[in-house]
Amino acid sequence: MDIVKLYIMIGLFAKLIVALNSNSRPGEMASAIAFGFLLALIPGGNLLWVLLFILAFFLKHNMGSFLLSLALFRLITPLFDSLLSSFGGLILDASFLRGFFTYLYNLPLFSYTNFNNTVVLGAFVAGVVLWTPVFILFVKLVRIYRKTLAPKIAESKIIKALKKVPILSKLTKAVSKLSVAI
Amino acid sequence: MKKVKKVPKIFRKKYKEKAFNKKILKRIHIPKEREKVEALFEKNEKDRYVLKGDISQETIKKLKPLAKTIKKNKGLVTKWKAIIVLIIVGSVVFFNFIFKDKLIESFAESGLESLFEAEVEIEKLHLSLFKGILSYESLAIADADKPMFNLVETGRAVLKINMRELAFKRVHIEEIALSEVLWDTPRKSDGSLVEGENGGENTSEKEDSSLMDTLSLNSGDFDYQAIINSQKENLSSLKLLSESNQKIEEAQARWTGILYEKESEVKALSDKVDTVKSISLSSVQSVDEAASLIGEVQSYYPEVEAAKESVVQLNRDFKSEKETLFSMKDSLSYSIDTDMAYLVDTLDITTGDFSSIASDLAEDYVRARWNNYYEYGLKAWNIVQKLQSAENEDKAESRGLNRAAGRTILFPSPDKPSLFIGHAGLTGGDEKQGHLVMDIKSISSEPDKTKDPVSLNLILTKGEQIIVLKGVLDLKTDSPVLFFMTIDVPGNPVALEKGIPVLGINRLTSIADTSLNGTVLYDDDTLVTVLKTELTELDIIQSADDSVISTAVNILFDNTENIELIGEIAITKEGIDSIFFQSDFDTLLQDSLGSYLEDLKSTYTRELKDNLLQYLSPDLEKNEAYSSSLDALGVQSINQISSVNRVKDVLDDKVSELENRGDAIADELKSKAQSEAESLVDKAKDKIKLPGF
Repeated sequence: MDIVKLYIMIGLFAKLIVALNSNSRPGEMASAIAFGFLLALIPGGNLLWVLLFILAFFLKHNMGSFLLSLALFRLITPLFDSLLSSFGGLILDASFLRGFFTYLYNLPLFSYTNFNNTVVLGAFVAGVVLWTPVFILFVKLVRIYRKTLAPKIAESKIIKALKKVPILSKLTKAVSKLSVAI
Repeated sequence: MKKVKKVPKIFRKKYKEKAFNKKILKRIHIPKEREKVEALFEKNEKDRYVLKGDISQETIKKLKPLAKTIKKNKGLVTKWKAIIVLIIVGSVVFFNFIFKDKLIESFAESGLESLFEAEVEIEKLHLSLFKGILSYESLAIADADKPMFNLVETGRAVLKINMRELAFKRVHIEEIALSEVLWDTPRKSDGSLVEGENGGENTSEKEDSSLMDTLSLNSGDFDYQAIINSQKENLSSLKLLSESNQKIEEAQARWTGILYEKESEVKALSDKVDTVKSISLSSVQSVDEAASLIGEVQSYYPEVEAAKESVVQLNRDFKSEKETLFSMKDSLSYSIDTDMAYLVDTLDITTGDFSSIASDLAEDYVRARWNNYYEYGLKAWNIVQKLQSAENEDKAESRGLNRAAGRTILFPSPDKPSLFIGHAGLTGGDEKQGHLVMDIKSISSEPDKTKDPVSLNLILTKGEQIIVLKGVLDLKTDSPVLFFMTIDVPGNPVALEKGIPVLGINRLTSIADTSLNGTVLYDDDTLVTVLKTELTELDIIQSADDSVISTAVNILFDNTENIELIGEIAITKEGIDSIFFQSDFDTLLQDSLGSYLEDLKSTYTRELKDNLLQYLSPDLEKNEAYSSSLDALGVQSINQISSVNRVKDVLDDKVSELENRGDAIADELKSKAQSEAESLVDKAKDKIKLPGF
């Protein structure tokens, strides 16, 4: 089972590398990572998470980056649970929002979102707030990579030497095919 | 001939500057590639961007994938994902019509199997999501403890679920109709989940060992010897007596041999010493001769002393062994008393206290019935606990085990419980188990949000028997009474098939009117039940004897129109905590039969003791005989000591005589010498003349 997980992780990482070096929109990658971050932040097992996942699935962005960021962020999000719970509690306990939450609470299907749980709501609000900064950050990072790092890496002696290794050469060609790059 | 590559359509079009930037350049996200493409275009005379004419085949080859990526970068939603979703939706619809019921059936079966740890079969399960109806044609749950039996099986069941409430995360089952409910029914196949594992059935019940069931109370027919014979393996006195006899017999044989040998030794010594008697004192003429004979006699002393010591030690050993053996004999009387007590207990003769016969019977009956219910109750309790632990596991699993649970804040909402069953109607049973009709209303997971408490109505009919149960379970926090129930069993024919042996009754039939009230107060886990039963139309079949008891019981029943039983039972989670019954019949029995049976018991005990002693008498006689023999051997041993003492006395006498003889000779010689000396002095006096005289 661990080997399967490792295989999947390597596959996702390869897709990320391919996407970085292909002519895909930087926004596609950045939004994938931002959605992965948002979904990693929100505890699973509720309708809110499912709906966000469906939304992320429908939007055009790099699935490799999305799943990889989801998996990686999920490893660290439990560390922030108490913080998220306090934040969520602060919002849910706010008297001026009580009417609004009561309204939501009494809407059909809304109970399944578990929005009245402090960790869920804290994570959701924090995730939504942080979505844009994460998105912008990764758009810029992709652009920087493509403008400055990618040409240097491609021209570096190490990469050229590595490309001569038969297996790596085949891998590069496969990656090139996948990336549909010129 | 080499194939000439065509420039992709997207690059063949003519673009205004704005469109060129929007549709081409902005969709190329690698700066180097963008610059290359920009260089391939030029403006024509109409100020439109067109591809330059001198483009090499190599460049066209590179433009093809670029054109593809430009197209790909268009829009926010991917078409293939929409297609996947359409396929999923289509599959769900397809599944709903074709596989849904089968899958749910399979899930339900495996879920119930893990819960009950036995095979579960559901037939024709159907779920209508739109109507909110779940139904099945039959359900059979095997009993894990008895795999060849079903714990429960039902026929058709229909559950009407309120789908609107489900949208609010509340499971409200408006109606459950369950028919043909049967329990403990035989199965055609083994219902255990693991092959070969069979809980088996322990159908053999421990038989009542009371001898009174087979004996008449008529003392004339009482076969005491048969009782003693049947219990002889358990009688300690018999064993002790036999063991004692065997040991005494062995000791007697051994000591007879030893003492016979010693007797011979003493006799030989005595004969030897008898030679001393032949020494004649008159033959002793001198002191030296006397001294010499004394020495001769004294030379026997060491042998005699050794013989004396030996017989004394032997006597001591004999006494010690005899004491040990006789101590066994002493404990025999205690052992006989113990056996008597045991035999009297085995007889199970009533103490003559008749104050609790009817109430004891009622208590035994209730306890026996309770054990069956308790077994079912325990099974149900285990299932509920498993269900709760499974729910907790599911909750932990759904949020991910490494995530914090957080705090769930509740907002004002309609006061409706998360789980509610409006009405459950259940019918079932058969001729053997009785026909059952049950109605349960208002089952709720949050009783405070429910208007009515849980109510239960049950009617069980079996032949002429009817049981009507009405119960109310009020779990609201302010309710003073947690549970209240009444059970009425009117005109119920009852038969005591085993009768009441102690009264010589082989069978008792009557009509019983029973009413029961059970209550559990809030904050108290005890169900306190008050039971009242009135037995009328009493009819008994007695054993064919004309004993006093039979006659008395017959008269008593002729004059008794009804028997009243009142009981109080306290039941906790652990079982029956206390049980108390009283009956007017017990008082009547006590008055008419108590004293008689008290006397009868004394007679039985006395007769039994006589018979036991009679039974033991051969061994007792043997024991007495062996004991007498041992006593005789003791006398023999003492005689041996006396014999040795007599031998010693002979020696002592002879020594004394010889000493006296020696002394006499010495005295005689002394006086003779003195007289001779005196005569010599006198003669000398005459011859010697002193000067001056």
